[in-house]
Parts: sequence; C-alpha cells; structure tokens
Amino acid sequence: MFQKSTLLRYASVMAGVGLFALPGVSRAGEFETSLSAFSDITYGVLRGKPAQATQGAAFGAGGEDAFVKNSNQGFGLVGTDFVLTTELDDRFVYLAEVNLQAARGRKDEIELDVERMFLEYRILPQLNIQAGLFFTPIGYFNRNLYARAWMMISAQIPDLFEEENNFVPTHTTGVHAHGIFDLGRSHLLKYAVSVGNGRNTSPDKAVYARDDDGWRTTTAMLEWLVPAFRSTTLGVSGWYDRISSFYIPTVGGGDSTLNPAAQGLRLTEVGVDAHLAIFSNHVNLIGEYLYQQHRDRDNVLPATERNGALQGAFVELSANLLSTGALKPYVRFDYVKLPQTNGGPYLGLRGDGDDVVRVFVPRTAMLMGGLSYDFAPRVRVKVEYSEALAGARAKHGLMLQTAFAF
Amino acid sequence: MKILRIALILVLAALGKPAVSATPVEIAVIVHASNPNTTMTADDIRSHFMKQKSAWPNGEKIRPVESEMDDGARTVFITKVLKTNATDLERHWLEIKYRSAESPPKRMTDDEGVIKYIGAFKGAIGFVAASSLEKASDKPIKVVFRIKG
Repeated sequence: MFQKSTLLRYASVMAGVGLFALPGVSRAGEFETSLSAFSDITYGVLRGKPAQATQGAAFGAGGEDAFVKNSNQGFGLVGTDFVLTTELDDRFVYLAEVNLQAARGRKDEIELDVERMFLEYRILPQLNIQAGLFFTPIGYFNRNLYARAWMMISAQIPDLFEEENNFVPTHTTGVHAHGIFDLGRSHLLKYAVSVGNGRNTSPDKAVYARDDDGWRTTTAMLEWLVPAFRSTTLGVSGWYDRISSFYIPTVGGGDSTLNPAAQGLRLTEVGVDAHLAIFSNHVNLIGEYLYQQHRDRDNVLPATERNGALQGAFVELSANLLSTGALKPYVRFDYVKLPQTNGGPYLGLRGDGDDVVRVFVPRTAMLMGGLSYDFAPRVRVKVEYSEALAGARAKHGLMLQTAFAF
Repeated sequence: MKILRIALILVLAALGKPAVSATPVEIAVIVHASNPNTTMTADDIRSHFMKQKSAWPNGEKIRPVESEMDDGARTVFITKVLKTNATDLERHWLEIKYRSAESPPKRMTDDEGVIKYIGAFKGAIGFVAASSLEKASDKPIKVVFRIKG
C-alpha cells in the first residue's frame, strides 16, 4: 500500500495539475492547456540461475536491493506519467511531467518523480530555449523513448538508460537550446546544446537546485534527418562534466559527507554517443552506442580504477506486419560494460541522507525477442523473452506488458 | 474446409490494403494567401503538417488544420501525401505532444471550417476536397499542391 505521505503528495500534485488542465481552458481559442498520460502494467517471470555466478554472488553480497533493478517478476506497476503542456502564447510553452511509479528493485514502494519541468521560448525554428528540468540531449533513446513503454516496440527499458541505474546523466536542470536547419532537398539538421547542474556526489542524486561544486555540465548533440524511408536519423552527442564526490574503497563501505576526514574524489566525466534510427514501411532499426569515461583528477584512486570506462549499446530490429503495421516481431540486444567488475568507484555510489555508500552494480548483456501488437493507436501489448548472457540477472525472463496512452 | 476458407479470408483481410473509395477524390493542400510558398512538394507538406518543422521560412508558426469528416479526402491526404496511415498518424500526434509539447492539428467540422481557419491564420496549412474550393474564391487562401486519390 502507498505510504500516507506519498498519497498526500500525489493528491496535491494531481490536484494542481488538474486545475491547470480543465478542458476547454484556452485564450483566443488558440492557446491551449492539455493533460495527457501514458502508463504500463507488466507481468514478469524469471527462471534460472544468474547469468554469471560471480556477478550473482557479488550482487547478493553487496547489491543495492534484493532484486536487480529493472528486472521484472510477478505483476508490476512500472508507472504512469502525467504530462501537462500549456501554450502561454505563440512563443512560450510550459511542460510539466510527473511520474508515479513503483520503485525499481523494490517490492512495496511507490514514488513520485519529476521527469521534466521547463518553460520553452520558441524564437525561431533554428533557436528554441528551454529553462528548467529536461532530458539531457544524449543519443536517441533518452530523448525520444525514455521509459515510455507505449512508444517503445520492445518492452523493457534498456539498463543503459534506466534512470535508477544512473549510468548516464539522463536528466539535466539548466538551460537547453535546440533548433533545426533546413539543408534543402528535405534534409534537416537538428542540434541541441545544454548547460546545467552536473552529477551529484553520488550518481543517484539529481541536482535540482544548489549545484555547489563550482562546475556546470555541458552537452551537445547533432542529428541529421535524412529523407529516406519513413524516417531516418543519424546523430552524435557528447557531454563533459566535473564531479566532486567521495572515495569509498570497498563495496559495502560508506562515509558521511559531513565528515571532514572523508576522502574526497574529483572526477572528470566525458561521454560520447552515436545513434541511427530507421523506420520504414516494413522494417525498423534503432542502434545506439555510448562510451563514457571517468578520470581521477587527483590520482586518489588505485591505478586500476583511475581511468574507468563504461561502454553501452542498444540495438533493436523490428518488422511491421499486417496492413497497418500493427504487429511487430522484434529482436533486441542490450549491453552495458561497467568501469570495473563491481561498477567502479563512482557509478557504485549511492546517497543515503548525508551518507554515501558503495554498492555492487552488475553489468548487462541481454538478448531479447518478442512480439508487439497495437490493439488500438493508444494501446500496445507485448510479450518478450529475454536471455541474460552476462550479469546478475536470472538467465531466462518472460515479460508481458500492456502499455497505453491517453 | 469451411474453417480453412474463413481463416484464409481473415488472413487476406489482415494483409490487404485498407479500403479506398472507388471514386477518385482530388484534394488540394491550401495555405494562407500571404504564405511565401507558391507550390510545395509532398515531402515539404509532410514536414510542415507533421511539425517536423515548427515555423515557415518567414518565421510564422505552422498551424496544421484538418476536417473531422473522415471522408475520402482525408484518406488520400494521409496515404499519398503524408505517406502513413490513420493509426500511425494518431500515434505521431501523441508522440510529439510528449516529446516536444507540440499540439496536434486543429480539427474543424468540415472543409468550410478548414478554409475559414486557413484564411484567418497566416501560418495555417490544411487540405480540402478540391470541389470545396468552388465556394472559397473570396477567401485569402492559395493552393500549393493537388493530388488525385
């Protein structure tokens, strides 16, 4: 059951959203406010031992939760996202998105999460400016599909972009400029640049306000829209951040961030991502590769941990069957290789009040196959089998999902 | 045998193309008279109507509009100009609302409403049955594309 405080928070947020979203609220018949939402309900079955015995044992001894985050067993409420958009006038748009979701890796917690909240000023097609909380303009999945089961063809959120894994800075609070240039012959070039609060002491703590490490993260993205098939996009993106954190030498260890004797750790984070997405009448392909490096700026870490790299990939191939393309068989491959076998000195950190602890974070290599069917434009059901090839997940997984939007 | 025949019919129905009116319908894509474009290609119309672009070259906000009447003209526009289907188009509007806070097209009750809307807003773009233009000679609109379905 929900905790009382969570229910009260939820009720007050939704009351606020509802007041803004009364149907028919508009000015001069043109400036509209709308509330829409998307949600999904899942049923999962896991069978078999962990894909890698060593990872399974290490996760059992030092994992953050009893279950691997983003794994599904039994019925699950992945969440409902409520999206409020309002046009303040021709050039100003406000968007707020709150997500009511079951905490990943937990049995009994529902949490309220703010996904996006920004004001956008639309100056020109080539220049729009957002201020607030937005999806960091990295890659394809994070910007377009982020945890939106109804938009995704396959069922599970890739570990690489699962917010609660915190491998990649999926959200940023700051300023975001984006635009589109017409290159002629129906070729378009999109760009995005953002500056914002960077990573926190531990990767699971977003910095909504008061970024006091003296550094702002910068991200840039270029995407070419090619007039081939129904849509074809090819893009590259990258980001740079400086992180002020703490060195916790062992998994299971921890320290207080208020302890003046705690060992500080200053890191540089650099990431690059390349993506290709093709949607045609018959076949669709989404491919993405990401490389992220953490470098110890003060040589505090042991030599083996000083320059850690994460590599991640996501490839999904699907076909459109039936006259409307409503039936989509697909195969998918997910891959996340972490800086060290235990997740590394930064990605393994978790904040707990004023304390920071280090946990074991398993890697991912998974092959999936499934079938997606659109019962209606707003209702998509999926069945997906997954085979874990590495990491701490159970070897075999089956997942049913109903995803819908309204 | 009967079951096989029924199964075959169901499979063919599922794989077949959506039904299109037997009588060819000519549609016209129209914009406000002040729009800088005199003609547009199907790809141009697609990128403007589906809001891949947010503004016209003169900076005017793009305002797509369509008729609520689900007649032959709409089918021709969706399949031949937008090169998609009604289901995917509905998904598209929901998706861009989530992704970019963009609104779907205004929906008017009929072609007359579409013509009035386009005459009122400089950035508007929409489609009507070409026959509906006969009564619109006094409206500040212009045709930038025609196609028969």
